[in-house]
Amino acid sequence: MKKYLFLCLLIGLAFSNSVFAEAEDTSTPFATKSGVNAEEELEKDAKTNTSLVPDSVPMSLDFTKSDSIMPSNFRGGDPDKGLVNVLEDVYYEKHEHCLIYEEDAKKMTDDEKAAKFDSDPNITWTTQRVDSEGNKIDKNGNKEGDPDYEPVVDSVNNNVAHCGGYFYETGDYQIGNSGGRLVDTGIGNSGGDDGGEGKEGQKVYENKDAVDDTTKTVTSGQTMGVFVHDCTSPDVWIAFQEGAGTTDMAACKADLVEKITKECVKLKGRPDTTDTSRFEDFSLLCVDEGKTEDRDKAPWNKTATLSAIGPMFNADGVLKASNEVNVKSGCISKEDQTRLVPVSIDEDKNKENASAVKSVIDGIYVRRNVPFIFAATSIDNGSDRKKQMPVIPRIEDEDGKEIQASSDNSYIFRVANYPEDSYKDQPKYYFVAKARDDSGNITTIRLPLYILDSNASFETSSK
Amino acid sequence: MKNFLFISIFTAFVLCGSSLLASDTNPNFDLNKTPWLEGVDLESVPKHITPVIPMKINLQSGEEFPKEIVEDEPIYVRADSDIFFDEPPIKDRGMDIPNPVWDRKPFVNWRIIDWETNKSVACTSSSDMEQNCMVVIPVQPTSRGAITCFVGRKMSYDNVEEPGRRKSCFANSNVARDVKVKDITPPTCGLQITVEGSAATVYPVENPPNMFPLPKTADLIIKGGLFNGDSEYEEVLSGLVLGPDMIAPEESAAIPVSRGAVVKLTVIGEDNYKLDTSKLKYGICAGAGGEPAPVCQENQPEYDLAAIKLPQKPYFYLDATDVAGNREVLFIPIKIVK
Repeated sequence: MKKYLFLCLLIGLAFSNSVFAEAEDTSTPFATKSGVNAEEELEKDAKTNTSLVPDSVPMSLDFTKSDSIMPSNFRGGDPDKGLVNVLEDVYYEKHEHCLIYEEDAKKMTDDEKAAKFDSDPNITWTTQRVDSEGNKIDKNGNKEGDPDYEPVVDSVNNNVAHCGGYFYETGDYQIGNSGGRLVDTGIGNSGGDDGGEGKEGQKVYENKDAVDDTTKTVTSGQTMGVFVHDCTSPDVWIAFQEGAGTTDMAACKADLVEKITKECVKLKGRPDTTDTSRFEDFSLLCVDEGKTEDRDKAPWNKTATLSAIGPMFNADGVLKASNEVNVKSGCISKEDQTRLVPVSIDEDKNKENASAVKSVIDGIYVRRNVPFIFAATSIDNGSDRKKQMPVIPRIEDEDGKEIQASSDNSYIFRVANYPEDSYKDQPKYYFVAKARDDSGNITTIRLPLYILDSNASFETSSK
Repeated sequence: MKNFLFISIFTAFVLCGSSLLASDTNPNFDLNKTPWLEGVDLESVPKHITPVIPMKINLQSGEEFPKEIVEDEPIYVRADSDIFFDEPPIKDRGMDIPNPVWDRKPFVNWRIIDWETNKSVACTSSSDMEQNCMVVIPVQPTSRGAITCFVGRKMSYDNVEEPGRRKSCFANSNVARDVKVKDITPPTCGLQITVEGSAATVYPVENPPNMFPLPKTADLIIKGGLFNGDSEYEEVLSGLVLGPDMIAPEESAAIPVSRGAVVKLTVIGEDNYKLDTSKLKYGICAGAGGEPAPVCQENQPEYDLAAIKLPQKPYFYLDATDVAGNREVLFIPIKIVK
């Protein structure tokens, strides 16, 4: 029995020793410096500093685990670029760690004079938009060095090693973390009291000289490249205009395109429908991300706002502004996280949104024998809503066959088909438009085109 | 009994070892001692390649870096580091970096830390300067501060595990230059004068803020119902030199009080750094300018004017000094009314 107990004791001792030894190994201080000519730098430091506390230490930096962190090859990206792929308008947390955040300063150095921390860490998170070459860019897309560049410093000095937030604009980012901490190197006379109370009860280092003092600030920093992907369907504006009495429809169309594109870019897609008199000459259908409170929703909750103003959206030809409704977006591809905004009153194909769309617009109304044109433009948040994107508007029959425009890009229908009950044997037509951004998000519009049997002018009085 | 003792010792050793093992591999921290690590689940030393390149902060002029810099005075600094040069590092902590190439320009951030408050602010400049240069303007006095520079630069290198492919990482270079920042701004204290529930306040506001070089200037804010019965009354006088000779003009700042009034004086405002409260004085004096000549006991909460032999030109005065020795003396004229 005695031998058995003695054996147990020996085993216990042996086990504990190995653990203690292992613990010691894993807490080996960081003693080497990296980089070019590191040994020379170390020698230089040894000559000028009597302390082996480094000036800076490396840092780990990453996003915390999230289902919304996309794979390295997301949307065909190059995994070798080392960018973290994230989605716009989603909450993400970042965290970081380094030796200056540890409890024990001795982990930084072999110095047996027992370096110790003399302050809490100072920690700042910096988020900076960059272009593909790494140049800083401002909120207007101007590059650092451009005359219009306005420096943007998006930094949070929160003094903690984690930080959460959203990316509301798409594109390239560099996330930086800057850390610092006072370290008493233990070399020289570090005696003396710490000074008195200053403002707000803060510790005051009144009795220490900044240079002769034994303390120094040790820094640590890290950078991370992030690409924020666009999950918002493009804004689309379509203008319709009748050409009664006008001979040069082609010129009208070119003017109309220019007019609505300028306004769309100026207003960043959000139409101003307060002054209805502006819409006497043309009718405007808009699909955009919506008012401020409706924008920047998480991708799976995204909506678009539909609005219509003008005389060509009702059978009476009355100039009126519709209410606005939100159209829910759908997922095109879960793998690519691309979104679709469908504007259609077809209950079968757009069950979720059909009635909402119908409350704003149920069709485009044109008069027979009167030529009309339409102009479409699209802008996208992926390019800061600054440039026009291609839109493909057309008219097609119910079989999907495109109706060709005349040589001057106008359309004219000779036979009425509305009201439908009175013209059951007449063909149905649809106005169709599709806009696709560079990320693959799509906005589609498919609305009936009604040809009225009316020779009267459209009224322009408002209701 | 002996058996029991041996078993207990054995068990204690095993448990002790187990708990040690658990703490070494578990990234949990003692949040009582390191509360900033809450929510962190990373190792303190990254295992992947991420070179740290040494850096020094020097003056652009090449002169010796001063131990103390002056509040609001621009200081032209330069970060010296190989991260700005063409050759990326080829080693990181014993790990080889094969065929390294810089992919992007350096990403530079300058900050000033005030260790007294543990707050840091970014330095920005619209001046055309070299990428490793900055003009730093320290606006907050401190006995313990640091100018810091942080640079990250994207690089790529051969992926030895997958020949033909590349890997990316960021090289970093950062350092601090510890400094003191000398306070050169006098206090901006003022007086609130209350008579029978009606009050007037007179105090300076540094304007423009952070001006350099001296002298500092200020607007003098004059407000309150004691002047004319209108509690919303406010006037701003610009261009006063902030310092030991601030005289509020009689035509707009004279405080009307009756000969028998009991006046309550309260010091308001503060210093941009630290007021030396042991040197704070206020009361009633004869004349304005130069050293105040008190006509009664200083620093009283109330003054019964009937009990004071007032001079021909009486003034309320405030004499405030900060810990750096910057002094403010403010004279406010008294107008005796019936």
